[in-house]
Amino acid sequence: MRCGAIYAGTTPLRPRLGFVCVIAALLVGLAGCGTHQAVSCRVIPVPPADSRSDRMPLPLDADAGAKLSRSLTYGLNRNNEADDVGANANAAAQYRGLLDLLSLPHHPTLQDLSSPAFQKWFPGAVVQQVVDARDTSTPAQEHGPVAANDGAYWWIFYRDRDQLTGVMVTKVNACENLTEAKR
Amino acid sequence: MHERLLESLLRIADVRLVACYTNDQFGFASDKRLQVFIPDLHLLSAARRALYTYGTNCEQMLVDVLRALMDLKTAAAPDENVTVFHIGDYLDLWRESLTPGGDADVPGRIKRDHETLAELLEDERLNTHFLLGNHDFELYQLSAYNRWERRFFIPGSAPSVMVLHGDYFDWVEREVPEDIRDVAVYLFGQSHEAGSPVVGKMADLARKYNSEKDYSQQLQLAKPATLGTAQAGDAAVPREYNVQRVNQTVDGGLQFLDIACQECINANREFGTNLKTVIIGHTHHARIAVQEMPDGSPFTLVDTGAWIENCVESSGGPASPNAQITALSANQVRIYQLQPKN
Repeated sequence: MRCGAIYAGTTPLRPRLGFVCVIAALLVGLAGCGTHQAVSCRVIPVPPADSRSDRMPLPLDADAGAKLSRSLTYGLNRNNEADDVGANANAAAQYRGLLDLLSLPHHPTLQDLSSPAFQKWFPGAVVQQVVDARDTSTPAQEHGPVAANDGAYWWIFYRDRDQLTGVMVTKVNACENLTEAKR
Repeated sequence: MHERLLESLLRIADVRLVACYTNDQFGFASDKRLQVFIPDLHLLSAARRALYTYGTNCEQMLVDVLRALMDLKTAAAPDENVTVFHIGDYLDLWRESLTPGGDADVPGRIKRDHETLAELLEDERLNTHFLLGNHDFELYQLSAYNRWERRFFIPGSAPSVMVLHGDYFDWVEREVPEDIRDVAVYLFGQSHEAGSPVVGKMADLARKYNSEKDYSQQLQLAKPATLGTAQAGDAAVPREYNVQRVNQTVDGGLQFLDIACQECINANREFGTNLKTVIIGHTHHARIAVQEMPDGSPFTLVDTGAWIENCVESSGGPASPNAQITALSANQVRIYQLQPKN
């Protein structure tokens, strides 16, 4: 017995599609749609555990740096790591410079994120609002985490006023500003 | 673990071996690790499916296969591992909706009409590693699909195999190389993760490719894909069977082989990688194709086929619905074609 029968007949889909496409085009025109704009995030959410590294204290020591490298190798996904499925197989080399900046003897500060050395890694604006629903209470502004984007991931920096005390790397594709051509 | 998978499949379906190839450079010498690749499904909602003359094949059989994979994975010994991949184009957002990226409910609408299949494929116990294809790329920015990728390198600790959907090779054929160089760097360069502009470009290319095609009567295949002569599933599996080569191939058997090989040569030269195997879907034509690299070693392209559209054996006979499963273990890759038991 065969399933998924091999269809020999035809359905007049194209004329129907053509009519629908005309209507759709009119609706899109009315909506004023041109360049596709992805959501620009002013608030970064902390994603579930399958899309983030562990939170590491700053400055990084050798062990913490190695753990972050490994997490980046597997695309911040512990399920990938469990099955040895790589997403970025040379993460250690790619991120070495940034991890060095976050490691001893450096003691990175909030102001450092605007310095040329860090702007090379995080060229955009630092997002001042990060929401972590695991917190039992909303942190005060002086202690609230901030986030910076390296083009692929959001690096969340925990702080005590100006001093950066911790880092966690997260994948939040919904907050990426894709540069797409006009539709 | 090849044999345990095959035993499971033989309990579910009539199985034929489409192709197999043994190569020490696959990097998966252990017979305690099994990598399984599920190809394009192109699921639609029931309402949209009714508008097409073709659709996903043998859904109940695929459900049974997924249950068998779940059993295999959960019953694995501590030193064994079963890794499941979906190669992309799981959900056909492009054919489901005129605004596939504009409505976050589109994937849900499709999956509501394939509840059992979707729940199994996305079950945490199966831990399926999903790729985005050109028909479901719009999932990229939906939070429920945040962990999906455009390519994987396996094994992650020492990559020798690259797994990607395969639509990239269509772009290479159609676009000016300089225009997609950064996409190549992203896909093949192990030291590069996609920046937003590159992902945006990939989204554009996927949409452009889809918009230039007429999917009213077919997706990829104007006629059934030629598989070569398949072998009975319960026959002894040789080291090599039905491998496509320049001097001996079926119609379409070498598609993308040159391009994929050249991309790996370029990446290996530029990034110091050692990629010699690429596993894809996208074409809906199950095959294993091999050619020589400059250093004389074999380059292997494994095309995992599909669960949509049709195939036919070169020896003749009627066409069959595509229903292929690919497995890699002990440095041997096998592609099986399944049919419901009579």
